Amino acid sequence: MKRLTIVLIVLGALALVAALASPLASPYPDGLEAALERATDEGAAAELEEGEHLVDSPWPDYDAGGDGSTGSTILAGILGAIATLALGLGLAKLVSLKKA
Amino acid sequence: MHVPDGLLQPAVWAGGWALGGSGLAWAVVRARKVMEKGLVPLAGVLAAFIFAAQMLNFPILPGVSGHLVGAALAAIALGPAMGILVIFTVLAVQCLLFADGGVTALGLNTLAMGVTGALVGYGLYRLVGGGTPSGWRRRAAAFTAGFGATVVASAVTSTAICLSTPYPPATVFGLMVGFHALVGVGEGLITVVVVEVLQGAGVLERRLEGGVAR
Repeated sequence: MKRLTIVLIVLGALALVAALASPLASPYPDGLEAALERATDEGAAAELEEGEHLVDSPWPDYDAGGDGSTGSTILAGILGAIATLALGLGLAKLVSLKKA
Repeated sequence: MHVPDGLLQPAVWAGGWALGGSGLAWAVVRARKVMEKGLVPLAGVLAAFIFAAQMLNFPILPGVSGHLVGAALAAIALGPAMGILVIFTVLAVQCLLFADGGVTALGLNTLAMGVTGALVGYGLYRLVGGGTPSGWRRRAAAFTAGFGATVVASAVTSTAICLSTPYPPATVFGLMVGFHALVGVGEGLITVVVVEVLQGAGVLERRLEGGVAR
């Protein structure tokens, strides 16, 4: 088997493992949210975290089942990984047309 | 460090789109000259891997977490141009499907994590590693690339926040860059692991055989 194929399988497997493990992610605010919380008064930060999103997303907060369950997060991870795979392949194919 | 809608002033997010969009345009033009067809599957799988890995926040301090950005490893694997496009793909899916990162802020997020992350990560990898680094020099180069890309990206985001809010710049930069230096350690370690996987499979040499610095 080509070595590149093996890398693709390894990275794909790692992506699946990451999606399956995503419910175990730290629930703490990330660096940006934590910095905003500390730079401002707490009310403003809470307001931001709720934030108005200007476009309706099908699965806000990685909650693909809409029930906030572990399975719902995993489903979001898998759906998102499939979407990025498809979009990434499409974009890469589009820009690599001129090069054999 | 995905900036949501509502944080940046219109002039700032518009500026983010102008600069981030210019970076994307450069990336498309450049990728059309240097992106090998044979690496298309790797670009897709890397995008999916980075998306999934970004879901895994790890704690960096009590009450604060961080996650991979992936720009440095994408740029090392595919060159900075395709690296930018891979990160844009991830950011677009997060923004549109999962409301993670604002639509107005997507330009700035692309500028910070994608364009800056890929260029800084690739530049540092070359700077520390030289042409075809081996062994510990390659690992040091990969770590520096991941660490540096995260820290510089956080400085770009900090600049946008300071231009948009009355928060004291020293506080914003101190907290943002300080937190992301810790996140950057995790980013550096993950970058080392992925670069070792790519190296083990000959993907990095393959890139150099063509004689084109992507």
